[in-house]
Amino acid sequence: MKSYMVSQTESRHPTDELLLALIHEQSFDDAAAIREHVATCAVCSARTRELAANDAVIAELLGSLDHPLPQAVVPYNARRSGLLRRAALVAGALATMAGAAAALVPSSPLHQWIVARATPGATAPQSTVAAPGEATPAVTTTSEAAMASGIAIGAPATLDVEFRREQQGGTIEIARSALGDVTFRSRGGTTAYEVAENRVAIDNQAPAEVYLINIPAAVQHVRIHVGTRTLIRWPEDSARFVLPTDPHRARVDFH
Amino acid sequence: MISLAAPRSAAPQASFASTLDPSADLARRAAVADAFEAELTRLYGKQFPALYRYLDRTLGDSQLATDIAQEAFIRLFDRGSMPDEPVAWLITVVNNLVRDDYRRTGRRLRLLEGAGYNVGHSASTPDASMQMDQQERRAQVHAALNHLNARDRQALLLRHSGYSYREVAVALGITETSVGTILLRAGALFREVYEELHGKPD
Ligand SMILES: [Zn+2]
Repeated sequence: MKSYMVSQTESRHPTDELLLALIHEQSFDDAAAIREHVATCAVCSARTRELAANDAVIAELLGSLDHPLPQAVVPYNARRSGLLRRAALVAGALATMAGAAAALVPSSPLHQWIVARATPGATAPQSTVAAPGEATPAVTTTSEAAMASGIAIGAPATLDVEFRREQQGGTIEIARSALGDVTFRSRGGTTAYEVAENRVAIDNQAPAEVYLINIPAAVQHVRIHVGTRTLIRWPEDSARFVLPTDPHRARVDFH
Repeated sequence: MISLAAPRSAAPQASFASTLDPSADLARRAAVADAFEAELTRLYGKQFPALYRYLDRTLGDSQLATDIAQEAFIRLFDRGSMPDEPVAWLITVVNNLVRDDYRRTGRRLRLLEGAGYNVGHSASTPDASMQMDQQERRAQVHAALNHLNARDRQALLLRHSGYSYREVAVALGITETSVGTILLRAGALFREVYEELHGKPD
């Protein structure tokens, strides 16, 4: 640290800024001289303790904001060339890609997404991400252990959710929240997502037990279709499906 | 948005010899690209945690913090070469992205982790009241931080996320001397407002 031009003489105590810098920084230009002064000056050593205690309180308050560092970091790859252009994202790809990256370069998920970005179409083991314009969404099979991967999009005013195929059994759970993104997760099965402006297509190639859809309040109209039929319209049909215990949740069976 | 196809500006001007031998030039470019990627990977490992911590504290949204921290590294990758001050460069980019995000009208799309089966907040979890305390505390801290001006808040959060005075100074375009002044002022105001709003911290 440079540019502190305060002269340090016996008769002059360092400023609070300098004492605080002594607490914060390992070394800077005048650090040794100031440290020496503080060691022999009762006024400054008391002031330094005071500043350090205050700094520790601030550090603790700010520390209370922390959420844990994410374990697996995913490519922000939907942004490659503009938002919400045709993209097929694969449930479960995240875990697989993170695993593959770890195998290549320990503790460096970056490596994997650089590879994916630099060479479009490069595939991680057991998972594929469809290239732009590809006809069918790529698919991966979620292992039994891996569940509830999915996607999130910002909230459009109206949203159409389209399950490509009819399926025997299976439930759609809808949660309404005040804020946040529209999110889709599935448990079990094989699921690929395709996203357009106001529409998300879910290719339920192997039926999942449960699809979880979170819909923030900003989305005013939702239609869920299965194949060619419309399963539910929100808010028109919502009363029939809302849980008696929780007005912000609904459960809809495929049949 | 910088295009993915942006040329690798890191590649040195081809020497006379290498212009005669395209394969040598290609190999040289590949080596430069490899070196850049290695440097980027090293920087990512070293800098992602602090950048994430700073963003998480700024935004109160760990997913968004992750997205924006990643986006900054993606932009660095797209840039193709290391800036003079990579750490300050990353901070500047995320500060701009945060500002853009606040005024964004567009949509974001991202992958979700398959980490659990929790959607929304369940009040039935045993540690629900603890989570509530934590959420309340976070809201209080954010409320106090919002009383600081943007630059003072950024300086305080950067410093307490582990950045040095020098890095803070370069990132915010101020002198190192004023970093000390700002930290002292911002810290005092933050604590004063916090205690005014919520009483003394435990
Ligand atoms: Zn003194």
